[in-house]
Amino acid sequence: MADLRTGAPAVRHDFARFFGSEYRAVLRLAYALTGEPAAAEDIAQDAFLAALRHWPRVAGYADAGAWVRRVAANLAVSRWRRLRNEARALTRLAAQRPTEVADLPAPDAAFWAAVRALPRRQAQVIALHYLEDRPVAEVAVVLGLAEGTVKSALHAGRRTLAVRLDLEVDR
Amino acid sequence: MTLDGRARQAVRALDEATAEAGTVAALDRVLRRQRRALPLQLAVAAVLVLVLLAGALLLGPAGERREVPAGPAPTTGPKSRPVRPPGTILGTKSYPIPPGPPFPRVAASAFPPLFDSGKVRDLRRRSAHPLAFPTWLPARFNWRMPHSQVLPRLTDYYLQAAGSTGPEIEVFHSQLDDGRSTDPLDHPVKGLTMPNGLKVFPYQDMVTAGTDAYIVSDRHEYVIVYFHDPCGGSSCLTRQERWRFVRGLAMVDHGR
Repeated sequence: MADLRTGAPAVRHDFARFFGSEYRAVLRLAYALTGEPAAAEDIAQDAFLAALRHWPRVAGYADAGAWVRRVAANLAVSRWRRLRNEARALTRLAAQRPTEVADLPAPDAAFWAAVRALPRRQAQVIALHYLEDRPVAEVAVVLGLAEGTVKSALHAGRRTLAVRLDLEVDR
Repeated sequence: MTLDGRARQAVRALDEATAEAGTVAALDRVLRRQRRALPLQLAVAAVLVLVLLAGALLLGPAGERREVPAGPAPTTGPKSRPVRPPGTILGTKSYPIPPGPPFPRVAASAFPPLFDSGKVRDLRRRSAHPLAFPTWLPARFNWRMPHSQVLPRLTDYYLQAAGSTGPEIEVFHSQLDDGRSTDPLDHPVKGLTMPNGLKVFPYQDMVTAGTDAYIVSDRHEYVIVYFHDPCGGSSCLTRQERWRFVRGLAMVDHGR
């Protein structure tokens, strides 16, 4: 267990650097998949807390950022976790604790709402593909899926999105 | 407009929306949550070591006794089934359900004092979520309800013991589906069917150490109960008391 309370400055420094470089991207992913600023903050923090708890193992991964994105993506599409985060967000609203994430303009909110309306696997793949401009192989690594699965989810998701948003699919 | 062009625009909007999110403050919040969990993890580790030591001491003489020949091994007859300890269900090695007689179905008049108010009675009568209110709480903790929300589709509340540093019980519920999680982060555990037909799914929360989660479901609505550990394990609810609280929700008469 990474002990960030009682010394281990190297560990603390490593994790802080990792957090600094990845937090905003993970927060963005969580926001895209939840549509709720407060819930996205909670999910991003939960994902990094999980990384911190398993830090010696996670730090050894070739792409620790992929691991924390997978956790956040799974947290964001888990129905009852999402409800739990919504409940927390309501409580936070009642306590008047503001979030640091702004609301999206209506057309962009509508785009991400359409992404979230896709089946959860397709939504994860589409969000990672567009947010981080990752190729299929990297999305497959992040989500722990086969490349073929990602390809078909991406194809189906893009086709559905284009129909629902009345847009043309790029060739 | 093309889909990719529209997506790029939506990504830019997301960038701008999250640009003000401070990583320093967020990191501080994560570290504080980790610090709160550390004493509990140390206590759990200490208890585990003590249990292992005690087990080794107890099993030492037993191991010697096993070396004494016990007669010929039976070669015929029906195979004996492996015996499960009472109160456990398959797949729940780390999550034993405490044994006990079925919790009695109770009328609304049996609510614990905290919930025994005109408002709660009225809510219960009108609510689409009759499962949401507990029928049993140990009185010794002098509970209070620091937060609660009652909405058409979602009801949630927190219960905090007097003198505790944070809420210990978190309950919320909805009507979306049967509530079973498919999240790979959740330890999959088989459900337990109560005598009134409701199912209880215990979950091991893989993200928040020290948190127990139970889902009570009738396949139309479900209640999720989280038990947090804000008191370091010493004066919080015991595992048996947690389970009794869940049974109080699960065994409530669904017809009110």
